[in-house]
Amino acid sequence: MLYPYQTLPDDWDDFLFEQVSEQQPPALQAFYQQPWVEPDLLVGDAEFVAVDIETTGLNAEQDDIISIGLVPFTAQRITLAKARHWLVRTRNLTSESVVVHRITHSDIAQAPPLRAVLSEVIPCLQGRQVVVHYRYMEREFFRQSVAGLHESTWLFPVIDTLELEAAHLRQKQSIVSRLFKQTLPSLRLPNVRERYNLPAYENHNALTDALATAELLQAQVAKQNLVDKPVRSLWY
Amino acid sequence: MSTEIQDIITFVSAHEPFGDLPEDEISRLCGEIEVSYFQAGTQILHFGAGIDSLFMIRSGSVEVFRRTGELYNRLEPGHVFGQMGILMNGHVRYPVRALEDSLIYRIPGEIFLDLCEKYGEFGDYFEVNEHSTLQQVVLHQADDNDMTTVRVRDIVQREPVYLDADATVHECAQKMTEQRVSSVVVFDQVGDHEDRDGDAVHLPAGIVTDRDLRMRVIAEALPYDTPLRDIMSTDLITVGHDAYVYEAMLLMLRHNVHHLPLVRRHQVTAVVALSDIVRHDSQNSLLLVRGILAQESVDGLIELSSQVASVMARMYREGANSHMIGTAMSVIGRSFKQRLLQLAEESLGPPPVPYCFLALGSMAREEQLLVTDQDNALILSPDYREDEHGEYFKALADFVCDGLNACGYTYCDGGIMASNPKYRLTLQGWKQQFSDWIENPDPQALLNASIFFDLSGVDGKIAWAEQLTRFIVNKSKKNKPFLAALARNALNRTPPLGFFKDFVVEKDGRQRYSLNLKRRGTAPMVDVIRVHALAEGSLAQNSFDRLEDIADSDLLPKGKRDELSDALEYLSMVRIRQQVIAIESGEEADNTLEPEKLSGKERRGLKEAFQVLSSAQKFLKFRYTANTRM
Repeated sequence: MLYPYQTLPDDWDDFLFEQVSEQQPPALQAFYQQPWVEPDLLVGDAEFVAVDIETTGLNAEQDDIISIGLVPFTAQRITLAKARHWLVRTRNLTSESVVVHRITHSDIAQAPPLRAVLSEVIPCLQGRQVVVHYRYMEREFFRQSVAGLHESTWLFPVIDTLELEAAHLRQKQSIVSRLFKQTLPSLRLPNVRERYNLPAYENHNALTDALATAELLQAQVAKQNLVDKPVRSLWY
Repeated sequence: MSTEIQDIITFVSAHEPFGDLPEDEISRLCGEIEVSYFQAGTQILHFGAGIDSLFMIRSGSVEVFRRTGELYNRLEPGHVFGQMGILMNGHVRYPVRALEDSLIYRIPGEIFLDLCEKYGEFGDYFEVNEHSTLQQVVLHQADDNDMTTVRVRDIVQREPVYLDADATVHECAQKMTEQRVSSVVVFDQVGDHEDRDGDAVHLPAGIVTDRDLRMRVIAEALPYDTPLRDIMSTDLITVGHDAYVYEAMLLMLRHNVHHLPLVRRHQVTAVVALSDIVRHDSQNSLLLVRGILAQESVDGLIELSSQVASVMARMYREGANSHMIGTAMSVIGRSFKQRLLQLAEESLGPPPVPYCFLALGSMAREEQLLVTDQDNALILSPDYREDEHGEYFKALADFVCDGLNACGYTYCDGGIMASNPKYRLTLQGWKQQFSDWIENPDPQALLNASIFFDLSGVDGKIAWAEQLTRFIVNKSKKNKPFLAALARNALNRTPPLGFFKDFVVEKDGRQRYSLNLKRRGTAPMVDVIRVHALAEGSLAQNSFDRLEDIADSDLLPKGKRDELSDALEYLSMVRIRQQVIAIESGEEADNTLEPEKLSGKERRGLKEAFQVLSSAQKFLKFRYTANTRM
């Protein structure tokens, strides 16, 4: 069954159950049967993977993924030796994105196609709770790509460090500021990181952003005391 | 595309000493980094915990502490910490806490060590830092007496685990595994009693350790349901809750136990294990003792013997007093003897009859320092037959005495060694010998015999040594002529009182004018104390313990005892310091002092100590040799 663009299941458990029972390509079937779906898995015990993609634009229906970075980690440690980074061959590379991502046409010309990259990416996410900053990008681009390649839905609950931050800030806000609907401080990754005393990184590199996201979740877990929370209580 | 994270590479190479490394080494290093976030106030490194990475601060700041809890340093982004632990022994030496929210990089220890190896300058950076840090530490410790200021309760890492004496060994092993401890404290309802206020006192009845389970249960093939009361060690050696690490260490050394319950108001508050102390201080004498007992050959022992001097130097630098140093040095000496005896028995076969190997003199008094000859003897079983067993014990004694000589405990000039057939006697034979010395006191004969009046069992039937000591003390206690002869001998060597006017000095072997601190200071002091102790019937061997024993008697006028004790401590410490200075400047340690090298304060101290000795000798003369109250 295909879930249309930007539609989410009402209940993740029902959805995940369906995915396991449905006929799925083997890579996806393996992906859905993993410890991160267990109800009693705690943040302090979980294996995470921070994921970031760079794209040619913001519309998952038109634009292409040009690179994917991922960094496996736990609440205690980020192991750089296990980090991965892929460039993806695409025809839609514009001059603007060359400037932003510092990825050139010749880099892209030598890169493998998305199908080949995804077949490596999916096993790397297996068994790990995916963590992103601003979930719409990764979620929709992944959904579109897999739907195009396999005619199945690749959709799964993620931890969104942006959403965690927003919830945390809202909770800290005074009733008065809530009444007056005062805006929250910036939720952009570099700004949030700064508030946690995390270093400023060069932006727009999928691998560096994945690392930045992993570090941010570690910081949020420490500062918001999330170690003993069930992983799924942070799902979006 | 490679997984290099340019940002990390840029950061690491911007900081000393990484910038000078070749690019490919930096990328390799950065690829292996692990990242952790620490909230402000979180402990990053716990003292004594294992450490296998070098830490680098990426953002935030941390505080580095001394073992005593005192702030040592504040570090900022780009600074590294933990190198000491990796380079020294893989354990954290300086605890570290996050001062601000901090992002920390861990560089795997193998990579760090590999780089130190490959790139001289990189390694030197840490060496130089290391060295200056080490020196600071040593200097600092000399000031605040680390060994005597850290309490043993502060290095124990867990609560004690208890079991009832009726629990089975199986339950015990399960509990120990579950709680990850190497010992349990055993309580026995039967043994409880009430204290003065009528409150029940739960005294521990015993202790069971890993070793007990192995040696007393498995090796003996006892059933799993054997109750702990059948295998536990009773006669617990305990240490006070407020004791210092050093006191616990000395107790372990003395009794050869690996676990000591800490007791406060009759309650066990914790159990300190040998491993806790070793973790606390990995260079201490306990480790050397363990190393000695693990050697498989005399050659191995000879090699280890070169470390004895540095152990003493370190104890001195860390503020140990002369009693601590003397005890540790004696236990080290005893361990050499014990291991040599075991090696001898391995090559000669088991002894045909039991024996007790005796230490005499300074080792028996637990006052051994460096530059000491060996003084020892054997007590043989009543079943000993010269024609049958003589050859075995000659070979055994020769093996041990030769081995000791090779390990730096040189042969005794006077031949007071177990290798001398005159000093291999049965218990009866020894009693005869001592009766002879005590009942027919001839100062000339006693001159060389005083060393026998400090004796302690090292190995074998230690109880025989204790029996002999009791025999000697009972015999000599009220024996006026004997005490008088002994006292006369104690006056033979006088302190160099003229020292401060015109330097009464002797020419030593190297033709230097010097003063022998042992011959003119500590040795006559020990002689004086021995006479009083024998008169009082004290079973103690150590001079400080002996002084303790005569405290309540009327042998010495009030205040004299403390004076003697202080003077002995002062003279011993000067002797120790002289030896340490010699060791550290690469010279051979001896017992001499070059007067011109003393400061005014030191001269005054020595003068005072010598005066105490002199007046103690005068008092001895009056007390025992004159026709007085005795």
